[in-house]
Amino acid sequence: MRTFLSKFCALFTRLHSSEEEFETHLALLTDGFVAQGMAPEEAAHAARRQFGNAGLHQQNLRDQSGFLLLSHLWRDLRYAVRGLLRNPGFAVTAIVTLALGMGANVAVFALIDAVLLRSLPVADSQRLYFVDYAGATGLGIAPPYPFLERMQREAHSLESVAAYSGQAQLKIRPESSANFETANGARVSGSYYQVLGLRPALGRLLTARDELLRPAVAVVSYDYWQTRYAGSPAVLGNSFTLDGTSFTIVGVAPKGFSGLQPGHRDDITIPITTMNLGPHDGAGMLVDHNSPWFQAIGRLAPGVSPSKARSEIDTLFQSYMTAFPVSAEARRDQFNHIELVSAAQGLDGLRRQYARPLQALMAVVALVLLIACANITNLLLARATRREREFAVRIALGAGRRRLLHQLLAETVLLFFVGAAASLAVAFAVVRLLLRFFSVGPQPIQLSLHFDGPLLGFAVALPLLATLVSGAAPILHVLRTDPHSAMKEGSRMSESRSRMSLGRSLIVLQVALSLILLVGASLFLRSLRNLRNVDPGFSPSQVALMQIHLLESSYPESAARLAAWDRILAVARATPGVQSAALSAATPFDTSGRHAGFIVPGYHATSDADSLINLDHVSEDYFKTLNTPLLRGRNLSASDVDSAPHVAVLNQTAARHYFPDRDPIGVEIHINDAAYRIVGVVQDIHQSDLREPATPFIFLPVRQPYDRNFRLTLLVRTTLNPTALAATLTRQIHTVVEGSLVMQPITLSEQMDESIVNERLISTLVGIFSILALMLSAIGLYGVIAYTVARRTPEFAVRLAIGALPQQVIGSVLMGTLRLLVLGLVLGVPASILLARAAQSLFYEVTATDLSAQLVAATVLSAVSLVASLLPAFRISRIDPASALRAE
Amino acid sequence: MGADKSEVLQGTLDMMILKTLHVLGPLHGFGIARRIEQVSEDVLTLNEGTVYTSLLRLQQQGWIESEWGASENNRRAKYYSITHGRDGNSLR
Repeated sequence: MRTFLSKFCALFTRLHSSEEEFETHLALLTDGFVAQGMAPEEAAHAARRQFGNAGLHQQNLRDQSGFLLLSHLWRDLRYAVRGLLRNPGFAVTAIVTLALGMGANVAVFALIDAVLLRSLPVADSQRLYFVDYAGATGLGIAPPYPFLERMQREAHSLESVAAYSGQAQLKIRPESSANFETANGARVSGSYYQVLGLRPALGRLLTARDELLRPAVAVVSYDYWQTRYAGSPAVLGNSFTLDGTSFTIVGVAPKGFSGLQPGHRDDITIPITTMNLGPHDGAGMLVDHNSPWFQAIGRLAPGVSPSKARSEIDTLFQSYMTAFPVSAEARRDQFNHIELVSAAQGLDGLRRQYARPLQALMAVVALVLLIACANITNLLLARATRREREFAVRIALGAGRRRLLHQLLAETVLLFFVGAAASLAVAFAVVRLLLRFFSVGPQPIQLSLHFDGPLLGFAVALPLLATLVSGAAPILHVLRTDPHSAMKEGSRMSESRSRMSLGRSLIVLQVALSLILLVGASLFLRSLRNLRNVDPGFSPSQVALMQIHLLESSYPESAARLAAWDRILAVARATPGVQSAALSAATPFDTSGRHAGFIVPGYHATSDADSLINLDHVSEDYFKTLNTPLLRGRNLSASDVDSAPHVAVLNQTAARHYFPDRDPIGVEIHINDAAYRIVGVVQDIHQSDLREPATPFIFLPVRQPYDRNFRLTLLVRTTLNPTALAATLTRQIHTVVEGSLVMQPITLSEQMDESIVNERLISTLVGIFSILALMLSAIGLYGVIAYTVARRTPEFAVRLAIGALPQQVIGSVLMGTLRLLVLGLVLGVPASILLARAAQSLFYEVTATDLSAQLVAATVLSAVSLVASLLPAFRISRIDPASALRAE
Repeated sequence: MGADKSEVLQGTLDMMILKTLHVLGPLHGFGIARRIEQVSEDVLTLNEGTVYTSLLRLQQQGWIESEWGASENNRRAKYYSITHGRDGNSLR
């Protein structure tokens, strides 16, 4: 330690003192010799001899005083940089290969970090849990609100517990503006921020007293504050109108926190008691004993274990269920007991959706990196072999092997870190691209990436690991160089067996890995094509969708709303280019779901789920706009108004399921307590998932609504560009209907595409990566073959000189390539089958054992390998035996 | 091979320097070299300068300390002495 410190200090001080000391020493020696009788000049020489080589002593002093390793490292680095600049082809190839391979890995890991690994930015997230009911069918959400109130009073194992209901589309009118706009909202208990342990960035956060709504207050998120209020402190005290009530903004949530749902941002957070502000679909939810509709998040009291808390809350739950019983089936399947689910990472919707695709992606980019590393190793090996002579000379001149090793390490590390720096740029671009992919549509996924913790560690560890893996073999090879044999003339004739077989095994590995990736890409593309070919039951193209909200403040009466909807339909149908227009509460693939109790006379429900049916309210021409054929009876029409008999239309699955042996037409059924008569049966429409078969559906007329219809979607089939038309229509709707909000339009095909965004994403990325892998393998193969030919040129020259035909020599080289290719395929095909089977759940209607994908991939690989080896092979035919031998 | 031998030599030289300073008190490099030459039977012949590397190392390790002073021929010379407190331990 002492030595270290003094060496460290010596870095900054100079060693002029030693010169003076030496001079004194020499002078004293000289004086001594003079005293013995030597002549002054002779004495000086004798003194020098006695002292030894002053320069060498100075050097030793310097070595002793400084950090030897550090100065050598600096020297090695400068030498390495010069070496790379002298070989730009090698340097550029290596760096680009590394940048692409590592960049892809860092990008995918960044996504994995953001989606799967990140914890909520709250205090001590490990102590947070969601309280969910659970039963035979799995986990649910929080038990009804009265139970939450009971927990708040009686559950002592929880320090505090709060309700959270997110993803509300709030239609607000800020005080400064005359128009309404939408914001993402969350309704929470007053104790919400206390449970999370957050402190405000500005102002204050919600408290329990705010639940009284006297006055009504709100907290905005940091990002919303920055974008909507320009980060101005004047946001405090600003107000907006929501549901006829004026809310004052009292605070800004801390930076980096955007709610409990990863991928979604809560712009405005308001107290949960706002559910009572009427007229509203939500009134009464706070006292409803039976309906679950929110998440409950609680913080464990200090010293309490999760299992202890669970059993205490479960006891409360059991007594609650006794007081407010449900059917025995529901009790068993859903409301059986309480589970505590860790809330450290928030709600898991995003994770569940993307976990498997992201893991598959990680595997893919890891394979690409392996291929890239194999290429680098081969490049380094070739380079090391070319420098054999240089190393041999240096070793013979006395350079320690350790010095050479240091220098090689410096070169390799430099290469990899330059590659790593380049890869960060690649990663950045790739991540931006991926995020853009996710952020389209009305429900964009907003991820925030943080470059710290696991991500930083990964970005640093990856180049190091890659360096070790790729650089080890070439360095080891150089270390084993025997100076004598390397310097002998004609040494290039001999082939070092071990070195070549490493290069060749790497090629075999690359071929196998490329095959796996190509097969994967082909299977994913086929899945995507199969999905796209599924008949959804309607024609998705040329249909524009616009979701329209009628504001409750403007249309409190049902009759006024119906009149407004009529005006909207009329103006839509009058617009040139519109073939048909209709209204509907839900559209295919809009991710909404609405079901209600369904009672059919003469049919006995087999389970609770069996007595529910999916519900939609549609206007006339809905099925015409979608191009869904009517199978029986009649369609809904404009004359199905409230005063007329209430009618309904079933889809084919519902008809077959509930009326297996009779005609549903004319039968009166009940939606809960409302009676409707079936008048028609339409073909099935895939509503939410192309993979699953259609579910039973009932369509009620929009003018005989079961639900209050404040929000409907206008569908328009057109011959023009749907997106352009939607813009025109939006303007016209605003003119005929005031107090309305028209959401961002989308086409039906785009909406459908969003439901398969996973498959599209994976297919695109795996496709790109497999092409990249193919290119890298081709480059690698070309490099190895070219190198082999160059090294064996003397041998080929001899063979040509004694009469072999060029074709024979070329043929022998190509045979070598063929052997590598076959070995690679033999390795790759079984591996690809195994992996395909492991990833089965990501495919659609593609069997893992169908070998056509492997066949196509093998053909592509063979063709590419052939082309890659042709150019070096042709060089053989250009060998002039005489001059080649002479050069040796 | 080569490395080991020089390390042993270094160690021996360090010991001899410490012994010299212990017996003779503060001394400059020339004086130390003279004394070692006397008692060690020509270990240092023709390479006296190596004593300075040892002196630096001993300084870095804290065994000795140095101070500028005047030599016999009135030139500046660094005088080395065993660090106060280390005296008893160093030569066991």
